[in-house]
Amino acid sequence: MRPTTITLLACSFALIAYAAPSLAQARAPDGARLLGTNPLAFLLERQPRLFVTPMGEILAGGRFAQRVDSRVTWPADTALPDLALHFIVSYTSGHESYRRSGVRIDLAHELGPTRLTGSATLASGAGAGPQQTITLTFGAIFPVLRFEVRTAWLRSATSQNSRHIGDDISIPAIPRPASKISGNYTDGELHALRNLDRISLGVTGGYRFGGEAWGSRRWLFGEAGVPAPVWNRLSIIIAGGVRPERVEFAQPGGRFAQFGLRLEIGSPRESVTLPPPVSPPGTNTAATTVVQLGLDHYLIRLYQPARSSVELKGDITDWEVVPLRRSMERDDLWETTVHKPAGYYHVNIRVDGGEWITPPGLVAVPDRFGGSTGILNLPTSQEVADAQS
Amino acid sequence: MRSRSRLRGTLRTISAVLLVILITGEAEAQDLRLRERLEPGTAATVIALMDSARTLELPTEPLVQKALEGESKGATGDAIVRAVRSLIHDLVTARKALGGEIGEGELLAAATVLHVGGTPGQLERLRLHRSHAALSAGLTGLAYLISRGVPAEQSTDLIVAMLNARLPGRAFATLQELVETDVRAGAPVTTAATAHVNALIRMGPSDRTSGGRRP
Repeated sequence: MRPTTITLLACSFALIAYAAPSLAQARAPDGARLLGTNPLAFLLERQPRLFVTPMGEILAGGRFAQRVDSRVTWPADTALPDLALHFIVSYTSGHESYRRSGVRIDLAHELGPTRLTGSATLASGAGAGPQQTITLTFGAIFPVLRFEVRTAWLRSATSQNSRHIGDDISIPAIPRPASKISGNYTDGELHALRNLDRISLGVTGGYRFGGEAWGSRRWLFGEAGVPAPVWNRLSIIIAGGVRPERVEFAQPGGRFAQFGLRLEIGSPRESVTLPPPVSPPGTNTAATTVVQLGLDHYLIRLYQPARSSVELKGDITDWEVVPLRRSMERDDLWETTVHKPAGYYHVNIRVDGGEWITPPGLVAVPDRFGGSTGILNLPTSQEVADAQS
Repeated sequence: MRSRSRLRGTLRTISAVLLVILITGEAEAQDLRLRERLEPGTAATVIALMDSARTLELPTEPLVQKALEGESKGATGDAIVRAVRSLIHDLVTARKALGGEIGEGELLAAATVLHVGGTPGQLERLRLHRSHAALSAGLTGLAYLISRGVPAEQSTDLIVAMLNARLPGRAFATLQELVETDVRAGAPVTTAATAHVNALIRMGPSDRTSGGRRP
């Protein structure tokens, strides 16, 4: 089967999968109607967000390369939504330059404790990389681990500008003429992810088990993301180790050390909020808000000034402790996203490692264990529409 | 003709198999979470209670969540089983009071009302509003008023009045906000609740922005 056909089939499947619930909901009572009647309209009703990531890299052999990746993403959310559309533009310079642009569609579906993901990318480029690329990725996300299988089909690709002998040894680039390489490869990758306060840490190991093997077949690298102390839209990214060659965006493989900045520009997250939050007795601050980001996708935000950590557990997390991240908009807001149907949930929070308490502003009810819990209502689209009007 | 009916039969069989897979798959996923997180004896008892709940056509996910909540809060196995039993009892009572055709969210909210001190008779008074989109918010509002110390019968009067006035769901959250503001300023909770409910009803369902004038 041709790669184009596979991609078209995947996209069609995605649209059918997401249109079906929409059609079902369209027949449902008013209170259960979706914001949009089809996935495309639903996406376009959301706000986009622009990410720009300039990177500097030191590669094996002492070479230096720079790259700038940018993408416009719908919806404007950094977490994995059920459906997302990205427009990607990247530029790599160094020994040879490569420009690439394309479109990517992401799908995700909650299945018990696992989140299944799939994405399809169509891209074209000019320079020291393939002219056309189709990439299909399927994966599963667990609380700390993410597993991914990725297959890429490339046309008119030039090989990378360094060659590898064995798994870890690279020699300086030997420029090769733009040859007509039509190849493909399949990678399996396992990522371990951990957030420590505001620092995100990740380790990725993988193996190229099918198709062309440009460079190393095995890799292992680590990366860390640290928010910049001066501006919360800016993050510092540091990575290093042995990575695979990714011909589709002219990324040389082998040993590398990388330092980069990630800049997030553009619209803020949508402010489709419920009525103003309520302060509990004894406090005088606004407290807990829920923002609907998409179908069964919500942002939960707590106002907790001068705190070093805020954690949440409840029906929405299977009562597993989830650390909240500091909002990129304000240091005193803590947030997390959840993928749950609209409805009635119980939650507790813990601030700075203290006691578990009812989140400020929520109705507190006895929890049947001698404590209390807060009632969190994730609103239906209709309730959000009412609140907006 | 025969091939068409054969096709129909095959489709029916496939649908039935898929349905069974879906149901058993969900039950297995629930069981797995319990077995992973609870002591074996507690998990077995909770799973047995869930089977009973299933035969009563009650939602089982809230029971799983209650058990996981107990585990995460360090409750003993006995306490977890008691909590799940008590939740089943409240769910059954709530469904009987509100009628069978009620959503899971509303049912759970109604069970909470019972748990905080409401009675089945008070829930029955909300039965007429089963199709009201704001019922879930109304039940949460009722649980709030009762747990805040407003007498249950008077709380029910206030919530029924708001539902009769066809106020939208967020009016109940607004009520909570206004009552809390007044209580912080020193007003008695029942007085504050009564005044704000009256104000919200006077403003009617068409007002969608303000939480009501101060009485």
